Amino acid sequence: MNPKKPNFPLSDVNLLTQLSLLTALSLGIYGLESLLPPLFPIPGMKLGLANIITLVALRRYGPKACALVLFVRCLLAALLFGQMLSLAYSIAGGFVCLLAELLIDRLLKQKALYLTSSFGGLFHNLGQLAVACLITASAAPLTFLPYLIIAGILTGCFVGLCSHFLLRFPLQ
Amino acid sequence: MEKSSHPSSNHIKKPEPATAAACAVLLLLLCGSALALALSAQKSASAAPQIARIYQDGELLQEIDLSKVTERYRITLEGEDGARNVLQVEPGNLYVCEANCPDRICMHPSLKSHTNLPIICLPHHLVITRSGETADAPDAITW
Repeated sequence: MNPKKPNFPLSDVNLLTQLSLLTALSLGIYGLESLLPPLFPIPGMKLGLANIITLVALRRYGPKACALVLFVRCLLAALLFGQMLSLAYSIAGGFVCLLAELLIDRLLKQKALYLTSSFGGLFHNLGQLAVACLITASAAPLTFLPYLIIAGILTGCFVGLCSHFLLRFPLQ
Repeated sequence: MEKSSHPSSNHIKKPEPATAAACAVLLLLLCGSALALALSAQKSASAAPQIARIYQDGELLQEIDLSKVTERYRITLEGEDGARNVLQVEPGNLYVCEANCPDRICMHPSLKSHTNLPIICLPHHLVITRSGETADAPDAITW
């Protein structure tokens, strides 16, 4: 049990600052990661390290705060690094991922964060794949489905372990 | 975390059913995908691509019979807002050699050799499939 899961909305300046800090961190990680050259010729396949912070926000501050951090990060990332088109992918992937994670997290009684995150990665990739199919108006992106399933689970597991260890450190 | 209410804490801890089920689902998905990949690799190993189809926004722009290409040449695809992809057409192969999209995934070097993978440039809504079928075969995209 988290001792104090703060209330929403953000009238609390302290909380607002902490969430902003997390958003900035996550944005920074996202930016650094986007500098890495793509390893595979598959759109949407990447580590998703920024989600380490999203998961920390989920555990420390609850789903609403996490959704807020995620949304602001996607918006700022699209403004800073990409075009507005990439916003569609990140929002679709991000929120499908978040919903799946909330559901799995409840089923697993908030214990195994790496499993939750594996499912998150999986659904993130599935969501992005769906948007890719819509945007190209073609079924060709489905060729990458097996690759994206494997990549989503493995990277999700890694991200989950990272945030698991990160959560051992107190924030203050 | 919290202490479990079971008295059998000196036994080896059995995983909770939900955790075990989640692990099983993930493993099943991993194995299934790996199997699908292995099968598709086996299927496409022998076939050199013959037909290349270039789609933008779901519309077929060009269809090139790669087995009839004798000389290397380039095609430039111009899209909205200065979107540009230059395709290199070679006897038996086709790939993107130049693009001004932000992620450059479409001109990834491994796409030159992995001819069964479709080339997708999401920022430019471009899809290029290279299949081993002959021209009159149905345009099925399988995996």
